[in-house]
Parts: sequence; C-alpha cells; structure tokens
Amino acid sequence: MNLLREITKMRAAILLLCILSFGQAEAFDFPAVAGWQTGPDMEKYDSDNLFEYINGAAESYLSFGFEELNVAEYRAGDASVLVEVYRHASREDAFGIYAQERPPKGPFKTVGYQGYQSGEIFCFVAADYYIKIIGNRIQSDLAGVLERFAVIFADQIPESTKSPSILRVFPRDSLRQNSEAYVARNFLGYDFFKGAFTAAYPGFRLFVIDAGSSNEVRKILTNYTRKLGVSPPDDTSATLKVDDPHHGMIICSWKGKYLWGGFEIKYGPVEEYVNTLGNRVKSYDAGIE
Amino acid sequence: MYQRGECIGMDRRSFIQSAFGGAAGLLGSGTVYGRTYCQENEEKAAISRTLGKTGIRVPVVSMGVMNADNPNLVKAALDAGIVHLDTAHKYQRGRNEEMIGEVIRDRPRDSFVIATKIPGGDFDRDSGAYTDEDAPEKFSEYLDISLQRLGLKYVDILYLHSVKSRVGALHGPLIDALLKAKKMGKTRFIGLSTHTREPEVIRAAIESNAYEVVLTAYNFKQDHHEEVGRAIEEAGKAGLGIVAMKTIPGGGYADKEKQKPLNVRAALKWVLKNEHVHTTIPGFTTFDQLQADLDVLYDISLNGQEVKDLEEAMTMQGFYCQGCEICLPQCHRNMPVPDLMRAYMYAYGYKNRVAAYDLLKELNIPAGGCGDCPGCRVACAKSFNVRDNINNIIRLNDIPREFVA
Repeated sequence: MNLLREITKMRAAILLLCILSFGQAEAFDFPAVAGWQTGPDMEKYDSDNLFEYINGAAESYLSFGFEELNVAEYRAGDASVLVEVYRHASREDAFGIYAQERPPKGPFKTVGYQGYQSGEIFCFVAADYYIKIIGNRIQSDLAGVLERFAVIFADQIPESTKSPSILRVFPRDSLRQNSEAYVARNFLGYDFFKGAFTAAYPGFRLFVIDAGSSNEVRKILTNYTRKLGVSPPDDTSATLKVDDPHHGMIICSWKGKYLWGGFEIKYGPVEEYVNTLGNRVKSYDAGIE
Repeated sequence: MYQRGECIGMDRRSFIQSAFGGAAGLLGSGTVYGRTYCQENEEKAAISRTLGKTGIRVPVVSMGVMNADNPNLVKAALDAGIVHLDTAHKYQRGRNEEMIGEVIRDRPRDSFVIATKIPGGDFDRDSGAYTDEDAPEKFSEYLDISLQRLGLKYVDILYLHSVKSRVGALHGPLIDALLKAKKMGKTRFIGLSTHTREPEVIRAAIESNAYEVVLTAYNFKQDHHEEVGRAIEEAGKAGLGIVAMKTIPGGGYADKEKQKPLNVRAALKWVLKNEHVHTTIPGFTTFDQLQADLDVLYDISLNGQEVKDLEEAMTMQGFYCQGCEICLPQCHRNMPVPDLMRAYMYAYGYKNRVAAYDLLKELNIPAGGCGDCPGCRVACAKSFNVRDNINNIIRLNDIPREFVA
C-alpha cells in the first residue's frame, strides 16, 4: 500500500513537472522596453473567460483556436501602453483573426508577418501570436512609440515574419493586395467547409482548403452536393460547377487532399484563375515552387 | 424590390425549400436571392413582440452578427424574415459594421433595425465604475465612425457596451453622451448591454429613466437565471425593451468538453418563455443554424422532447465540476477530487463508462477509495456529495474493462 502510494505520488510529481515545464515554455515573456516600466498587474485569460475581457468579440477569437491572452501595461509618467498578446493554436489561426480584423487598405508595416497602426492601436501578427499595442495619453510621436513596442515584441517571437505557407499558392497577377484571409470554420456558411484560405481578385474570389486527405475532400464534396440537391461528382471528375442558392456560382476543383475554386463570382476570368491556382497548388504539394 | 415585412409570413419550410429545393443547377442558371422565400407559403406568421416603449415591432428571433463574416448569411437572414441586426463598434475591429453596411445598402431603411454598441472607456475592475474622463467625447467620435461604417445616418438602438455594475449604468457623462446622440438624430433609442451582474445593471437601467432598451445575457444555464428573469420582468413592466443575448450557452454544447450538443431551438424557446424578452440575438454562422433559429421564429412553444433535452442539459451542468480545487486541501486522503468528479460526470452525465473507467485507471486510486475515512471535510463549491460520488464511481475499478465497454 505504501509502495503504491509512493508510486502514485511520484507519478503525480512527474505529471506536475511536465505540466509546469510545458506552461513555462508557452508563457509569454513580456520584454523590457527602455524608458517604460511594467505595472504590477498582468492579466491572463483563457478560453473560459476571454468573454470577460473582450465581450462578444470573444467568439470570433475562439473560432480561430484562441488559447491564451496575456495583458500587461507599461507606464512612463502619465502615458501608458497596454499590450494584449493573443496566442492561438497555429500560425494559420493567428493570421485568420488578424486578417478578419485588419482594415482593407492599411497602410501596413512589416512588423512580424504584418502589422498596421490605426489611431491609438498597433496590431500585428507574428507566428501564432496576434498582438495589439494600445497607447494612452502619449503626448508625442504616438506612431513611433507604438511601432517601437511592436518591433521589440516581434523580435522575441521565433519565425515571426513567416506567413502561412499555403498563401503562396494564390496567383499574384491581379491579386488584391492584403485581401488574403483564413476562415477556420463554416466557410460559405456550411459547417463541412473548414480551414479555407481565400483571396480576392477583380470580380471574384478564390479559395483553397487543405482537407488533410483525399477522403476528406470527397466527404466535403458529398456533403455539399447533397446540400444543393445535385449529383456528387464521379471518381473521374476533378471540377464541379454549381449554382449555390446563397452564393451564386461556385467552382470547386480538387486533387489529393486539396480543394480549391472560385466564389463571389461577379465577372472576370475566374475559370482561368482557378486553373492557375490548381497548377500552383499541385506544385506546392509536390514541393516545387 | 424587397419590401418591408414581405417575408415575415414565410414559414420555415418555405425558407429551406426555396433555398435548396431545385435551386442548384449547372453554371449559368443564376441565383435570384431572397424574394423566392416569400412567395410560396404564408401559412404561419413570424412571432413578433413590441420592444417596450420604443414601439418597434420585432420578430422574436434577431441576428447577433458578431461572429458572421459572410454577407450572404446576413442577407439570407433578412430575406427570411429577420429584421433586427445587432453589432458593435469593436466587433472585428469595425469590419463587422462595414459588412452589415454592404448588406443593407440597397434595402429600404425601414426594412431593418440596426443596433450597435460603443464602450464607455476604462473602468474600475472591482466596482465597474467608469474612470476615463475623455470617454464621453470618444463615445461620440466612435459613434460617428460606426455610422460611417454602416452607411447610415442613424442607428435604431445605440447601446453603452458591456456595463458591469449599477454605478457604471448610472454614470452621468455617458448617459449624457447617449442622450446627446439621440437628440442629434444619430440614434432613435438608447440602451445598455450587460453580461456581468445583470440583475443589478438591469435595475439600474430602470432607475436611470434614460435607457429605453436593455440587452442582457440570459439563458437556462446561468446559475442566477431566476434572478435575471425577475429583473427582466421588472424592466419589461417599466416599459424597457428587452433583447436577450448569449441565449445559447456553451457554444451550443451542454457540457464544457463539447461532447453533448445542445438543443438550440429549445434553448432559444426557453428564453422566450419570459414574455418580457422581446427578441433574441443568436449568433449563427451557418445556414443550417439559421434554419434552426427560424423554426423558433414561427413556434416558441417547447415540445416534450425539447423540455426533456433542456432537463438533460441542466442535469449535465449539475454533473460538471468547475475545477476550483478548494476540495484538495480539505481531503484527508489527498484524493484527486476534481478528477474523480470528472470520472463521475463521464459515467453518469455522458453515460460514457469507458471514459470514466480509463480515467480512473489513470488516476490509480488506492483500493477502497474514501473507505472508512472518518467525517469527510470536503465542502464542494458546487455542493457535490463528494464522498458518495467517489465511493460510487471507484466501483468501476473492480470491473474488467471489457464489461464496461
């Protein structure tokens, strides 16, 4: 009995050590910023209580694999800078929530993968972090102060400048700058479409999904055609064109674990672009870029 | 052209059938969106209620747009009879309001009801009192930005966003900012939203004699839902319009581990049983979810199965250990009480004895469990009978796994 208890205690201790070690590796270490002092209160939120901090906006964050928010305030006299560090489950998720919130026209800065200033706030995405830097009572050079903070924070995140690699498959010709987005769930309003990267072109948008396997692609197509009441594509098909009652024409093409196509089609050479996208997806999949 | 109320009489089957029945086809057939919903069947009228003294008549189901980034979903909601869209200055850093602006741009102004929310600035975390002296000025600036994004000259309801306490609700400078916005014609009505200390905030809204609408969290899983319900009734009787949010708790699941989906129709109907709730703003993001909510738009009576589903979801909540761990130092035998309560929930809440069994094996609980431990000192925050539950669940340890599966 004593032996059993000792073993149990040892297991618990090892488990605790593992948890603590993991926690330390994941915790965000707020950097020192010359001329600024961090306040005594650092706040931490997880998926259970994010709502307390950002109200109804929390649900969007949760849909992008939100894991943890750390908040710290830096002070210099009357001025303060609040830094919100959102950690998401993946680089894709962090990019997704950033892209959902970014203004269409910027102007953008190369901080982390990308950032922008809007009034008293500077937002940027770096790896699996989405960081917001909010200035308060900063009397001079607000933009400079915020960007300096952003650069310092970005510098301590490994591989901060890398974007989700699959974004490279979108054809560059006529691509609307900074239109790339990521829809983690319910793409097109259907729960079987998940993890869609999208980009805008004059008159239409393109999408690409890495479904994980050809079987998953097949399941998505089956669900979609069933929903629309049309026949599912046969095994030899590689393209499906449908008139979706909610979206108008949708084009889907697929190969292996990838599904790509066009939507929000109003005008323009969408089929040509879907073909180009397909070729780029195949090269990407083969590691030829 | 789309006409106000044109779709209100459309029943849910018409929506589903007209959206999908035969509409799909080969490229080139085009999509005529919206009005087709209204043309087929008007056998049932959407249930509407009057939003207190505002006099605005709204269907009992509205749309919380905060999660949606799909304009076609918002269009579908409006075309299917939903009239009221709820957003906020901060949602998606303004992109949400812009998206709504695109959707409503070509619709008659009197065919929709738009609410947005603007925060009152910094506040004291303990008291909920607003502390930012510049907030009223910023409030007005933010409202102008919101109107620009929405492409509107005025919103129908302007809320002070996320009020935390009575003192916050009664903060004079912000009430003045709301009244000023109303006087300038930038909003028809003013209100506040709350999801913290809701009864206190709702009663403060009554006390203020200023607010006309309250947007409050309200659902069957709130620990204090009875008190919230009473405050809503008081506000309703005082003439305030009541909009309920967070009506479908837990992200649509009955349990925290997202194993048991909630009956969302039942959850919504439960809220609407309170006749003083005038409308609800579920945050659907798929067309299927929209259809589920539209069911409620035409029938708010809970059927037997829905009552059963709600009871089961409430029971599930009763099984759920919050993991506060106040029990750990209290237990004479250093038992991992939260984990054991989780195993108990697996077995009796989820009816998943395998998960309970595997967790127990992982925990490696000494045989006998609480056994003859004299006088259990554990006082569970959720009032679980910890000793009985442990002694009950560890009996699984004595059964071979193949008999459990």
